[in-house]
Amino acid sequence: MNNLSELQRDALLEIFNVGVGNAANSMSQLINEEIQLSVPKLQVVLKDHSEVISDFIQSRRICAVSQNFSGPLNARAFLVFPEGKTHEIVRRMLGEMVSADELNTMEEEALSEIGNIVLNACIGSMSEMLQADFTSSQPLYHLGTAYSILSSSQTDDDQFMLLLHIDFSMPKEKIDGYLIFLLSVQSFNELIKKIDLFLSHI
Amino acid sequence: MTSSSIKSVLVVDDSRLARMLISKYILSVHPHWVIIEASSGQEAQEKAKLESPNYVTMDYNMEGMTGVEAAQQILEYAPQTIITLFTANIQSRTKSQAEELGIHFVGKPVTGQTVQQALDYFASRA
Repeated sequence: MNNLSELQRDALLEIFNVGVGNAANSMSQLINEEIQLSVPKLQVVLKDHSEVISDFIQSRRICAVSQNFSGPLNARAFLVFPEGKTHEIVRRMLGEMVSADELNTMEEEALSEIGNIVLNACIGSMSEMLQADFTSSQPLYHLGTAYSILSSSQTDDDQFMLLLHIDFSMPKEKIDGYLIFLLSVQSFNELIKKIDLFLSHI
Repeated sequence: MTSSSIKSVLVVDDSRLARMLISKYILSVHPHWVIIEASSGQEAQEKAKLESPNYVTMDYNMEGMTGVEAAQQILEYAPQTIITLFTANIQSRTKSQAEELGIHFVGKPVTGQTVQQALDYFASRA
């Protein structure tokens, strides 16, 4: 069931491509630098994802921002960066406005805002392409291992994980980021249905 | 319909879905136009040499060379080609790169409206 057809996969990638492209534009305005994005790589995996996580991000400590989206389908979405790699983004975002001490305390807030921008841009793109309306919760900030954050956030219903790997490159820093969407079987099927409906109109 | 009003468009995008959508919207306005597809900058160059399209819609973010690099090379040997960069990378740097090359810029998503923007540009340069 998690075997998407080439075209379904393509549709999902294009949704995220547009979403992240829009988000990068907002981010580049915030930090006054161009952001180069890699071509995103998508994996759809079943709930027992510990192996996939160990392949991708292993037990690395990460910082993540999560948001819940509700609508015709519900998803728990995460923007994930390796811990420590985000200082540069935050420093550029806040610049000379704050001292080094303040910078640390502002990091959580700044990253929550970035998560908010990126995740909402992806959901916005999904909403536009699939003709579906979503509401979103406030962004939540997490720091820890990928495994602990994802397992604590996951409910029994969540069976599917969409894992999207994107490199964000700025002139002086390259950050490998991940977008992760946790979905129930029902929501995953609804997503596929919406994609098929969209594809049937082409 | 005269043969001179039938144009050919090279649609370059690594997403098959994006190519299908762009083609569909172009053909809905110009049913007799010829659509050529390429899924990378490299393939775009080869198809541009073979087919000499009148117009090109070019994605930016693809494996291998970027759309701007591919557009630049196409313009070197076929400077009459009219190109629109059609991309989700809507940052000002990308727009200014397009401007420097003298090519038009349209931001994704691919919709009837955004494809029309590209078509309007093609018409204005015809």
